[in-house]
Amino acid sequence: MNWALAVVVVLLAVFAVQYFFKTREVRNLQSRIVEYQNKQQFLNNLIADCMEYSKRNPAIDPILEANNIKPKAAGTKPTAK
Amino acid sequence: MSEQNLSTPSATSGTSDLSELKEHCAELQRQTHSLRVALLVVAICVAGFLALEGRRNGQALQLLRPQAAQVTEASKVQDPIANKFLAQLMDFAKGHQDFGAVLGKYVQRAPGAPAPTPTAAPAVAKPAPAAPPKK
Repeated sequence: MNWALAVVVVLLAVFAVQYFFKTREVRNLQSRIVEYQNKQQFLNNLIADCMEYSKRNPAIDPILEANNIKPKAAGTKPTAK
Repeated sequence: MSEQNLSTPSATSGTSDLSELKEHCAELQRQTHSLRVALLVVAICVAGFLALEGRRNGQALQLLRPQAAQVTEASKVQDPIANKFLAQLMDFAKGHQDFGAVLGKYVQRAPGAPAPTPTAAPAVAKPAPAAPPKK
């Protein structure tokens, strides 16, 4: 009986350590993925607002076009400064 | 005769005490054994639960690791582009106040944007004026 208890306690310790480290890694990876998704959402919202703003003020278009957010308008020449 | 009368009750009481103690001891041994069995069962259950959860976490890790690697790689590529884009937008907002209001939703201190938290900063920056505490 004592031997069985000792073996089970050792197994318990091993499984507990494995559980702790694996759970920690899962949480770290999940938080990294969620952070990336939040960043993507942030950029998507920002781009949507920029596109909405560009309807009112096309002066922002060169920035959007330079970043491949808005397709370059065909047949328009860049304004000379 | 008198010695026999005196010694007999003490001997019988001693044997009865001994048998009573043996019964107590046997009862305690039974209880200890049952408690050990219960402890063993509980420990096996907890160990099984931890092993199962560890296995599930291992399976989740097998799925999450490639995703996290992809996310890390994508972040390495996208972050400089996003930062450059934001810098361009902030430069643009310097000359366009109305866009500063738009950008102010995303960037804390966009040029031309209304202050996002006008009341929070002074409360942190300036402590209350030195007034004698009332006691």
